[in-house]
Amino acid sequence: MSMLQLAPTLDTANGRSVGLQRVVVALTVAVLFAGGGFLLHTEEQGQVIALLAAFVALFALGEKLPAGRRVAALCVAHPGTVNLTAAVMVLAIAAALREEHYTLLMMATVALFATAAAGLTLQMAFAGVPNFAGAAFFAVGSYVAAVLGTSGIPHLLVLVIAGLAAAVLGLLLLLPVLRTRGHYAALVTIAFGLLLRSFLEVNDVLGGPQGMKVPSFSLFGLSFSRVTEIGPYDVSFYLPYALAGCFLFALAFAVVRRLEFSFAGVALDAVRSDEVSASVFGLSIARWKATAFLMGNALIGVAGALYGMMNAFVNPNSANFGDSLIMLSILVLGGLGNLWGAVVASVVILVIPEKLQAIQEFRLVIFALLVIAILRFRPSGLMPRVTRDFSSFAKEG
Amino acid sequence: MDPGLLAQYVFNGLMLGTIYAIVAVGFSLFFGVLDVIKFSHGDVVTVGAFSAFGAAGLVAAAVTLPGPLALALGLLAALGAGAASGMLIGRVLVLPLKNAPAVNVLLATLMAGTVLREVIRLGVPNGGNPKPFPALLPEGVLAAGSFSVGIDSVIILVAGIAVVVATHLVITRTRLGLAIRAVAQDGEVAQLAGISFSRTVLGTFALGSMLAGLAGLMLGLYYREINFNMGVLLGIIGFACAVVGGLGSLIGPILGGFLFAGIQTGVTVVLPFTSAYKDVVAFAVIILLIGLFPTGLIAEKSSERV
Amino acid sequence: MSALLACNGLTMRFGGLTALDGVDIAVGKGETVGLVGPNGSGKTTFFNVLTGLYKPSSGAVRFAEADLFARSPQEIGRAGVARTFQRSRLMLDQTVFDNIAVGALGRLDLGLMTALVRRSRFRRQLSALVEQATALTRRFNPQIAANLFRPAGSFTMIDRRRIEICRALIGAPRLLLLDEPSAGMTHEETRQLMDDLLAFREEMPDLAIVLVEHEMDVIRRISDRCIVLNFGKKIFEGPFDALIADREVQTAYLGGGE
Ligand SMILES: Nc1ncnc2c1ncn2[C@@H]1O[C@H](COP(=O)(O)OP(=O)(O)OP(=O)(O)O)[C@@H](O)[C@H]1O
Ligand SMILES: [Mg+2]
Repeated sequence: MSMLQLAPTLDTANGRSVGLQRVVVALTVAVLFAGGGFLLHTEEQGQVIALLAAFVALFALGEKLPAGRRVAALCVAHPGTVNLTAAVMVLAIAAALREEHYTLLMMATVALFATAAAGLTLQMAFAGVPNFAGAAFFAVGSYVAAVLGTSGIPHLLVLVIAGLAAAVLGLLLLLPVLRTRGHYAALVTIAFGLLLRSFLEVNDVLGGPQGMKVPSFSLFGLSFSRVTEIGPYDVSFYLPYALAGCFLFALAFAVVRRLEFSFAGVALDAVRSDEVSASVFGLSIARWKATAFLMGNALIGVAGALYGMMNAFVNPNSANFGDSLIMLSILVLGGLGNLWGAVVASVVILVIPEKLQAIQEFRLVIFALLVIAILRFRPSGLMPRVTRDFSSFAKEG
Repeated sequence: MDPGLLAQYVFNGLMLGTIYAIVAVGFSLFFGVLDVIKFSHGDVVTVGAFSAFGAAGLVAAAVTLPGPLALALGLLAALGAGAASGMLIGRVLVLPLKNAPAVNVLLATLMAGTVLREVIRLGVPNGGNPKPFPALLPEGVLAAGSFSVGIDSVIILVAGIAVVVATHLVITRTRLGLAIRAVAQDGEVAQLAGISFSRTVLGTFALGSMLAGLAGLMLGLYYREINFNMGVLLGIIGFACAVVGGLGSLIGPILGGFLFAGIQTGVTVVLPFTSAYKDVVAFAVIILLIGLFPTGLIAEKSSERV
Repeated sequence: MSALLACNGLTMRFGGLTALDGVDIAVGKGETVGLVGPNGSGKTTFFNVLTGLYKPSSGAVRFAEADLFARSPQEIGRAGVARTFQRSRLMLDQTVFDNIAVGALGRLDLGLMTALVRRSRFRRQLSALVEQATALTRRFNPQIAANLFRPAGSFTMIDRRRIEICRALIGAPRLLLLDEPSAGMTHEETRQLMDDLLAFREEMPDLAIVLVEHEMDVIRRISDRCIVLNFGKKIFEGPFDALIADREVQTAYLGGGE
């Protein structure tokens, strides 16, 4: 049987070659992150273009060459090594670029949008519930931070409350979202986004069109905006935000991954792929869609709260439809259900236009055409979701 | 309340409702034949408005035309550009994606709308700013007591209602309409009956997008000002009206259009102090209605076979 | 002993069409009932009504002493009714194991705490399930068991049907509804499938099966009792030999159709 021949040779690998595999994986991830870090840092147009070309080439190699595919498969097979290397690299990049305000601001922005994308992943990629109001729930988080940030409540708790608030607001939509599918459910969220934005604009309690100031995030009495040095090093006050953003993303990543690799993840996939068979096998469609919708909005809300604190202000425009579309596009471009894809897509959509001055004016057209091309020719995204494989878990257990 | 003022509100509401209905009917037509939402529809409205603006404006700058001729030129430009952009998007984007998940099509056409919008913003000189729209209709005011309304507005309203009726006639009385209805019923059966699927679909896109172009012209004539992103909200409202009314039906979206305009106007009339909340209320009602009637007021016929 | 499943006067209308017309069907513990009838006679509709996908217009359904009339699919599924579908409904891009796991979710811990925090508990359940799924699929085709973590879409149509049966069986149902499981199979494959099914049944003597099948050979070999539907009405009930001889059944099939 050909299927048997295809069975992964990893199973038979002995300890030494597993070690070697890990090294290959770690190096690959390190190179990719180093490239990403350099992209964040450089302003030189020639370097930016060369870097982008290198990324495209690497990506193509990883897909077309057997050796490239093998490396990609190794990365899938050793998620622990990938994650560890990624964490180390993030710290290294942050340390290296510690004084660069704008670079760190972008790093934090990417991390927070990727966190929001993790929330959308729960909703759209797992449960199949469309959410065209990502930016609205993100803004809810920022507004909660604005209102509660000065109240004396510890800011960590404010983040939690922001998540809860976004989830509770999502609760209002739950009934229509659960009763509908596809276009109809999408419209419910679109309408909600517009509603929220108009509401924020006309309601003076929350600052009206001018919006509100948001206090800086402070952790155990240490306000991030006052951080100017760590030990002997001068640092940008965006450094703690970049680190906190990445930490938040790591948390969201862990939640999404664990959920995916659990029976709840199977249930979500079953509900999304086929409501008929899911319900015949006893799964409550409403329970799983609601779970994903509320959890997803909570994640988006938390990310939004930190984002608001970083930017120091929030206004109704934060909840605009265009930003919701950007979040969705990150999801689709990266590959529905693949969080590393979401990180890559966040960089593509948020960072590259900032870096390439030539396209600044055309950024929206290019971004729109890019998403159209992806949807048309590669609908599973740059990095398609990898089929869940429980075999390694089962062996360890 | 002063009856004249009330009449004014009613008139405005009718005008809005007509425009919403014209846009919503397009959404419903597309959905009928292809089960897709073409979200670039709102921006096709903008394309129509700018084409009319360009045609009437450019010509008027070159030669002095009598009003009616300039209007006819603007009308042709709006219809032509609307149909062309609608068919183009239908051809290169919507038809190839017709088997993709609903959300993908939604996103792709939203992005197509962004492209249209950006092309206008970057392509039209000073396109980022609002443009004054030429007055192509006869001036003058009709007054009755404290109620007064421009002759141009009356013409626009009457024309708009005529367009809605005409669309209805096209769908119910013509060969194209028959083909559209047949494809909407069952594409495969229609093909067996010798109706070309892709031609009918493109015909539908042309028809619906001509309506959008026309709505653009009407908006320009009515508000005397156009704007590169005037279609965004209108597209969403049109979509909402079509969904609430019932996608795929013809009467539903018209109903939805007047309903939405009615709510917006009603909030302004009944709660003048909170009239700023008219959009909030309108969208809240939309959400509520979808919650209550998950497949629209005029239900879309569907039952999944297992 | 009272029947496991007892339907009385079950009626299902679609607008003007009566797809099930006052059908009485009883199935006992451990019994295998063959359900036959011409195309469009209401066999699939019967399954859909029984599993709660369609709300019946009238009648009564009792299952294991509980009233299951017009209950939700979830309640019915949890009560111990499992099924396969005439048109295969698997998650083709997910692994065989994940597909089969769906059938067992009813008895697994789906709690978020287990998913996110108590991972060792999850792993224990997972290992046990992998073992069960391996054992179960091995009965029907060892190749499936050997490739449990390949996407279901990479298997042949026939294996997909086997996978669907395993998904239905892994939840240890009391009643199994099979809707033309052998469609598209050769005689030999059909025979093999039925042998596997019967062998499995040996170990679960209480499992009741209702089998929709067009192959009369299969019906003869495995059913204890046959029921014939025509235009939504039950026109025959009895042993296979009597079915063959029955006049009304013959006309339904020969002069039948529309
Ligand atoms: N969801 C539905 N809506 C309307 N009519 C339906 C629906 N489901 C089934 N029917 C009709 O009910 C009748 C019985 O169909 P059913 O699928 O139960 O037949 P069947 O016995 O399973 O036939 P086959 O052997 O072809 O599978 C048919 O006339 C069919 O068209
Ligand atoms: Mg059937």
